[in-house]
Amino acid sequence: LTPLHNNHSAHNTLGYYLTCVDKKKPKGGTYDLVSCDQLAAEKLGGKTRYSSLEISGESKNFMSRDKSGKPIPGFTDPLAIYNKLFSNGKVSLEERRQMIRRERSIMDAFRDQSRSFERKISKTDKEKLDEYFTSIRHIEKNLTKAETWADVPRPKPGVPAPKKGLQGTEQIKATYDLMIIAMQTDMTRVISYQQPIERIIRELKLGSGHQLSHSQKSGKAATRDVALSQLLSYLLDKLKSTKEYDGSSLFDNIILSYGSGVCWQHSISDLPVIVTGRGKGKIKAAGYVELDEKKNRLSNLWLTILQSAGLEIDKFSHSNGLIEEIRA
Amino acid sequence: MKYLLIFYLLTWPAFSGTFAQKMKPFIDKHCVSCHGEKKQEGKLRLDSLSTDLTDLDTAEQWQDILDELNAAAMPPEDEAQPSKEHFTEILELLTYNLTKAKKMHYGKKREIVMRRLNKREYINTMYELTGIRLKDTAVMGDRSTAEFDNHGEGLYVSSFLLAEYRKYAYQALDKALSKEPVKVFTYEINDFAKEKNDAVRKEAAEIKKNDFKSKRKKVKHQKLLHARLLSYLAQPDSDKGFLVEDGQEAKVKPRNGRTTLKGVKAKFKISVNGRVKNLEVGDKPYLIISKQRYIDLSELINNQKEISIDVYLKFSHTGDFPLTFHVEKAKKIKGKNHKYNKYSVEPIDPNAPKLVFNSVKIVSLEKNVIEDAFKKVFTVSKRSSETDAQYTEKIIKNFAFKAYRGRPISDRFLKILTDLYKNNVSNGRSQIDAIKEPLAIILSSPKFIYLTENSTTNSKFVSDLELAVRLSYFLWSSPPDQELYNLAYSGKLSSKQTLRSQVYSTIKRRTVSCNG
Repeated sequence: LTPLHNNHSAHNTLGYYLTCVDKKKPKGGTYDLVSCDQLAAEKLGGKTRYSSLEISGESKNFMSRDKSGKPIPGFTDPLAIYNKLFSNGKVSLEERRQMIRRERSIMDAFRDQSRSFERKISKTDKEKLDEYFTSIRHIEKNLTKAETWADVPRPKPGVPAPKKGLQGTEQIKATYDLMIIAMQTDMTRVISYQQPIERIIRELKLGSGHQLSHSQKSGKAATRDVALSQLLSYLLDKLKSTKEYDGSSLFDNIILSYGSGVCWQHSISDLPVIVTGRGKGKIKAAGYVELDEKKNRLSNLWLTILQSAGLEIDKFSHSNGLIEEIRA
Repeated sequence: MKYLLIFYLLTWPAFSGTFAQKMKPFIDKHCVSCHGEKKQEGKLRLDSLSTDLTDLDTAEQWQDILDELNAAAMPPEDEAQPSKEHFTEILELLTYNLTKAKKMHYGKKREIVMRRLNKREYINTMYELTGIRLKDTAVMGDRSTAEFDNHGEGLYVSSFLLAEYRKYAYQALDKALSKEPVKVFTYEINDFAKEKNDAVRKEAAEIKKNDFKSKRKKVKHQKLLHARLLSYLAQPDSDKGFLVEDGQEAKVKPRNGRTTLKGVKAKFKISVNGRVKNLEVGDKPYLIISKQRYIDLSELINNQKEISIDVYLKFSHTGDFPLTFHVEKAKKIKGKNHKYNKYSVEPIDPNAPKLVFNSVKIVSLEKNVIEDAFKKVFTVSKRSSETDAQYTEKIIKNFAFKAYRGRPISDRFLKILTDLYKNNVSNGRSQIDAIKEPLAIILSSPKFIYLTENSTTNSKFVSDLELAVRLSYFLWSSPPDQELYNLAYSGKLSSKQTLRSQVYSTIKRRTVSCNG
């Protein structure tokens, strides 16, 4: 699969993985700035406490993009995810309501304050300030959500909190566990996760990821891929063994896309992607699928997944069709 | 540094000089038949394309080419393909040169954009305001989009980051206003002589036990090493301290229970006890601590004594703390250079300059940091005529004035914050606890997070205050100090002369503690 985005930065191929945006035609509607997970969150997040969960193993890089194409940062440490999902901070309902109200008034005050310099600044600065207002609006949206959820008790995670500052394999496993619990307890229905690959590569003593992509020998890359596949199979096994209230497994009800933003070197064509999960019967196992060159677009995959997840859209970025091979 | 140099030597000629020489033949061979003089598919002509990437249009066209190549869209499948090796080389060459060109083109012909503090500035500013230096790893990183980390376009703000700012502020304030005794890190080697001698004896015994056989070293070498160890012990004063030769490192790994100093940046008090002997007249002895600071050991020449200094230190990620004895010779000896080398077995000269290293003590000064921090927030003490509310209002107002870099807080916002404080107190929180919230809010408010300038919109001159802020963040990545503020308020800073002298005097005044 090939995303049609430009290689904005040779080393940040994942930056536009989920958007497939073409930098040169960002406006005009055809090319979305928003990443597919955020689009899904808008639709699927209405009924859950958190509309989406963004995780990245490295605190600098995040894949999700909001509607204006700005990166959405999220959690790195599994412990932080655990606390966000399951910790209530031991306050009473009334106190929590009060806190939310207070937070609203603070946001109002912040908006006032930024307006006071809005009048005096130049046009380009206004764009910068818009970014700020968007963030404030986002916080307020979350507050509204927190308000509606304030009297709903949080589910018990059933597992102890992970250790602080886990790294590498441990970090990935703990994150997988939390992703599963988050889905099982229906805290959220959309999760994006960028794995700390560099750390894994270092753990395996294979040099750096950059070297690995540029290396002509494939032995080291295979070692990495085996290690990552073992982790993936850990996740899949857990998804299959985790039962939902109706007796089905989590695996039956999710769609998981697993892939990489770079093929070799800086090349972003022919990216390998694994799609799994049964998506409530909307997705089927199809083995190895090689797509027709004309339909070989990553945006087609996102469109297929989004449609299967119940979104009523017929286009995503530069998509030109669905991937029928994996549709059940 | 060595590796860096080698890297540059290898890559520089390969990439920079030959860009045109290598790209041209590739383009001619694989592209020009469809995008050349006779035929211009997609209205694209590449045979006449310049290779001067300093031109923005040209660079953008090359970026298009790179995108096509990376996406494996060109050359078309039915045309002759370049070999994988050649293709790899071309891709790397193009990527490298375009990355370089991109950095050059970034930010050109643009006005100064209002931007938020970057990570380094944020940590330094928080330190100036609260006296607490947040850990580098604890603060979210910026995504750099250009060669500079203060490039406004890349410094995004998101709701997540805004929430994080509040958390960081609480972290700092919790620490700054804590009344609990602070853990003080102490590490001490009391009897360096015993420690060293024990280690030497153990090593010697080990060699003998293995009958001078070693996997890595020859028997002859082992025997020499053994003799050297014994001669170390036979030296005079070997029972009084670790005998450190000129240029030798005494390795120390500070540890206090489970706490190590890996990657720590903080102020420390270092006490060294010892005596320097066998110096010639005019020689100057130093102890280089952690390869960063020199302590003058002149006082210790033939005189056992303890000296201490307060230093700001950055520990490496290993937590090692090397102490190097160094003698600045009055007379330079030509020719032979007697340097201690741990791989060669040189006999020990008992008459060479030596530091008889008795003991060392490392104490972190965090306790003082907290006292300073408290004073930074509570700048004035409460007058007896003031009510608690009046006093708090004053504290919040002063804090905001500093946080907003010399701009006052609006009355409305101040009222919200003081109301918050009162509310917290009436909810049974302690006064110290209650004031944290308004302060944390100030530290996550737009006027603090953003560096804004009002005057640049309508005129090309900035105000004195803005100039002070610019100067300070440019030189130290931190807010102006009081003297700079005073000059700005008096309107003197913008005169050319004052500005010039200020640049020099502030550099002198503010030592390099704002590293990061």
